[in-house]
Amino acid sequence: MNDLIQKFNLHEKTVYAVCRTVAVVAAVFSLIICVLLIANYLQTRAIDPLHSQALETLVKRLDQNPGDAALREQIRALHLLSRKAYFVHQWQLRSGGVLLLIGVIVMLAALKIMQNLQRQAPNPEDFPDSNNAWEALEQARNWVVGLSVFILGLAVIFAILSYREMSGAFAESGETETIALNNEPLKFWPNFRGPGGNGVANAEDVPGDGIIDSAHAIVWKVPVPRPGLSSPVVWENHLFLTGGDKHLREVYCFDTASGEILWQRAVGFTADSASLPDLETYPGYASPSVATNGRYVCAIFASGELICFDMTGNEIWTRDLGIPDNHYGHASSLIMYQQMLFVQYDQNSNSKLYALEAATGKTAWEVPRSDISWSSPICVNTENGVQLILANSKTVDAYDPQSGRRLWTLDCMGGEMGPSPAFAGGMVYAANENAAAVAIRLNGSQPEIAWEFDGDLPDTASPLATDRYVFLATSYGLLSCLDAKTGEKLWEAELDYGCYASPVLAGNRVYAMDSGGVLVIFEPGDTYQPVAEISLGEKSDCTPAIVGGRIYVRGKEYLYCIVLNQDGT
Amino acid sequence: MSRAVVRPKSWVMFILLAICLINSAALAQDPARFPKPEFESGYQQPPTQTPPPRSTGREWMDVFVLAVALGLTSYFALKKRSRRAIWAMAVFSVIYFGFIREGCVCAVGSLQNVSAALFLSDYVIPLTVLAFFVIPLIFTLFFGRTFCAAVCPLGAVQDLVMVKPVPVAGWLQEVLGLFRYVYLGFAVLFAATGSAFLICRYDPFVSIFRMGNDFGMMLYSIGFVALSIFVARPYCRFLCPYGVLLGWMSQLSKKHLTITPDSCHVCRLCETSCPMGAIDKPTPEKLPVTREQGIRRLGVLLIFVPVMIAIGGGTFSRLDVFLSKMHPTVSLAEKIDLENRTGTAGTTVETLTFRSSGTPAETLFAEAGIIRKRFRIGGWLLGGFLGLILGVKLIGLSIFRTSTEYEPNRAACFSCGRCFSYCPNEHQRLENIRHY
Repeated sequence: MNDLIQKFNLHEKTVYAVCRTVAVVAAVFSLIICVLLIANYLQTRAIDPLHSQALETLVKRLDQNPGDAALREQIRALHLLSRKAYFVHQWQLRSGGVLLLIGVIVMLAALKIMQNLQRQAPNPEDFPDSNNAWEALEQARNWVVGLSVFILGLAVIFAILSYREMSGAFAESGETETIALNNEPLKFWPNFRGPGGNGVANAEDVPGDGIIDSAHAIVWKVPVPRPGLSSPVVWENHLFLTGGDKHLREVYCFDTASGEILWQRAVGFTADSASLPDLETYPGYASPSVATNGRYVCAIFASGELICFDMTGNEIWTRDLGIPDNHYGHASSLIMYQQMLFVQYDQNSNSKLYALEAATGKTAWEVPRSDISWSSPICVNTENGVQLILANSKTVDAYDPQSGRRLWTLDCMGGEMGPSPAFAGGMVYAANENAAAVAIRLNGSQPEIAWEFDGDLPDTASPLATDRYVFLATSYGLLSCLDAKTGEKLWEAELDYGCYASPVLAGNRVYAMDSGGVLVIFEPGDTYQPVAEISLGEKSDCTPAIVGGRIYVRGKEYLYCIVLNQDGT
Repeated sequence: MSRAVVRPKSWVMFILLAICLINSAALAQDPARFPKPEFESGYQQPPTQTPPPRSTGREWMDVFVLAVALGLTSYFALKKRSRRAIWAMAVFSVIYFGFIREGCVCAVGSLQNVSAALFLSDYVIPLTVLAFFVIPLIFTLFFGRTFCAAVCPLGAVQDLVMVKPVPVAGWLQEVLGLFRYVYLGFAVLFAATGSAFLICRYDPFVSIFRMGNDFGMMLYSIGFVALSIFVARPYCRFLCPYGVLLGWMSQLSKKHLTITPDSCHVCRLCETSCPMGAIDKPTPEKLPVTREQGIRRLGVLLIFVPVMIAIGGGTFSRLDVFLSKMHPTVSLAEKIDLENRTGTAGTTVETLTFRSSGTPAETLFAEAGIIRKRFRIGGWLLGGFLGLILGVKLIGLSIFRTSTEYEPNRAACFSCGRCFSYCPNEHQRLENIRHY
């Protein structure tokens, strides 16, 4: 500034006086504009062209007399006028704002020049004593401690107040869901192969052994609208299936008491329907079974369409995972744990394991996987906590369901992996044709293979494991029982047809469905002890669901409910 | 005291002018992505309060301008040591990044986009926004906080209106400075949970740049400008969450602005030159405590830090109910729940819309419950972070670093160059330049 004053040969005091005058004028100008702006703003708030009282009165009159053209014109004119007034006020506000800005800039510029003209060379003798640096630190420390206590106290107060005001259904929703998901699935059949996907029914009321006559055992059978290999999933009185073809995929909800369809929802939101692979033969478009937690039911199809409904059939969300690069079509079933839905999306490339929030469909986490498979995940409680165990064409892997962290992996599989793993007595069992049946002993993150069996092996049906036995059902009809501890074959039995459905256990009975539609029931033991055979009268490759003493089986065209108790319950 | 002048070369002015012209031309050419309907009555659409979407080309142009502005400011601060050129850059930034670009996207706000991109699976951050976040940090890592000096429109506007700054006591500055960390923590939490972009919502200067906002926000903005006249850069020093990151980077910076171009003679002339209180003075030779006492205190504090993290985390995790109210889904769930309990329905537009959608309330409650649980985890992290910051601050205030000369505090210095003219060595340097 001084340079400019010298350059233009100005007098400092004159410049200072001019700036002071300019600053005062600009300040007064800004103040006036400010007052006007506030007044204008308050006026604008009062004018609401959409809710003008006069206008509303006229509109009411027009409602009573709709044919009054003059009144109609009057309303239009008044509406136009009020809107114009509103926007004029808006323009005034904006213009006033610009004027205020200019006024403030001029005032500040003048003040800055005045300040510069007043500047004097610093005199260290006038400075405050600089030898109190340590005292300043001490003071700052005390204040930081004080601030910490203040922030903490404030947080405690807000936490207490906010928890106090919590009540109602929403307040409880977060807690109840966890409880429900931890306990209730045990009573029902929430996904493929029952609770945890492990093939073992936890229901207390297991099927009886009174009726062995097929005609009397089948209490109802109903047609399933579209074909599919998905197995029944049951929650309370709801039984879920999927079916579909290249043009349309569907989710069905049946009443477990009568077999009546409660609701049926079409799924066909993929934009790439025309490019779906030809899967009309085996295994089709609806091989994966649904998963439910009693609040939501989720389904996936070979098209990569993933959809979620509530229990009454309202669509909650959809996800399009893209058509998988899978030469047989996607077949891995869904499973849920707590609020998460898990999707094993193994394919030729870009394989992934997804964990989605069941309520929203949003990805909680996803991890890449290496190889293709058609097997389904199981979620089991091991001594090291809950683990999500998956198998593909090379490895058996375990993940932490909360974070997606891979807990361990073992390179022990081969071929085209269709069977899912099984878990019992602290051991994980996996098997596949062209590979082996292996028992994996879990030693924390260092699992080891306890034994291998390379006899007759399944290529689709999953092994069924108990603490003492492992059952394998092959696609050429050989049923084998191995010693769970040693892998020694205890016995084998030849069925009339091959097995693609996985055997399941309920109470002291194993239920194995052969592809000829015969449900073979036997007792697990050191020798083969058949109990009964129930024939559906049509082919079946789907795994039975056992809930409440009833067995639900899907045949090629029909859904069956089988009751073995004497009283027919 | 006479002040020497170093004029920016004409090519610098040419670059700035060219940027303005290119942008003005681009603005004129920029077609609206969604054309407004045309009314036969000649009705004029009122201007919107938020900036219209910009074409990708213009967004990249903004990134280019940001990089050029940072380069020039760093050059003026470190090489040319010209306060006047830095001031001119500040004017340019207020005009371009403030009034022309209407304050969006700014590097300060981009912090939230980055947080959302890191924690929300369905949020994708535009590359240009990422560039706005990263480029100032990179420049700071090399040259100190030259972004704050004159490129950030928020800092620049405060710098320009600073007329009569009053000094703030050292202890008060330390305490108020902690609110930046609190603001940073909350801003990240709310962005990462998809609740709100707090920094944008409470930006004190955006109302001025856009020449409009609601009445409360206008008053808030005017109040901040008025405060900035008397308190040097209050937002930058006591609130700016991005400034926390810049401060960390600046402490590691390869080069930094210096008060003196030569060695410090401890003449004390610069002692009160910085209105931001960012000059570290030589410390007294005698330490206030013995070495043993200092070590003991440090040991106690080092043990205390994990305790503070645990207490902070535990306490803030219980703020999940309170904090999650900020999320629109939780807020809606609470309203629906209240309506269900009181037997009313459709008391607000939001609840009316939700009920007409046919979505079951259970679904909404479940979703809100999940969000609330995220807040519990987020609360843990936020409380732990604040505990850590307060603990580290106490340690910092307990370690006695001795200094024998006046130098800018690398974390706090905004590289504005006000201190240059106070140093006699600087005057000597300018004299030498004039003569040779």
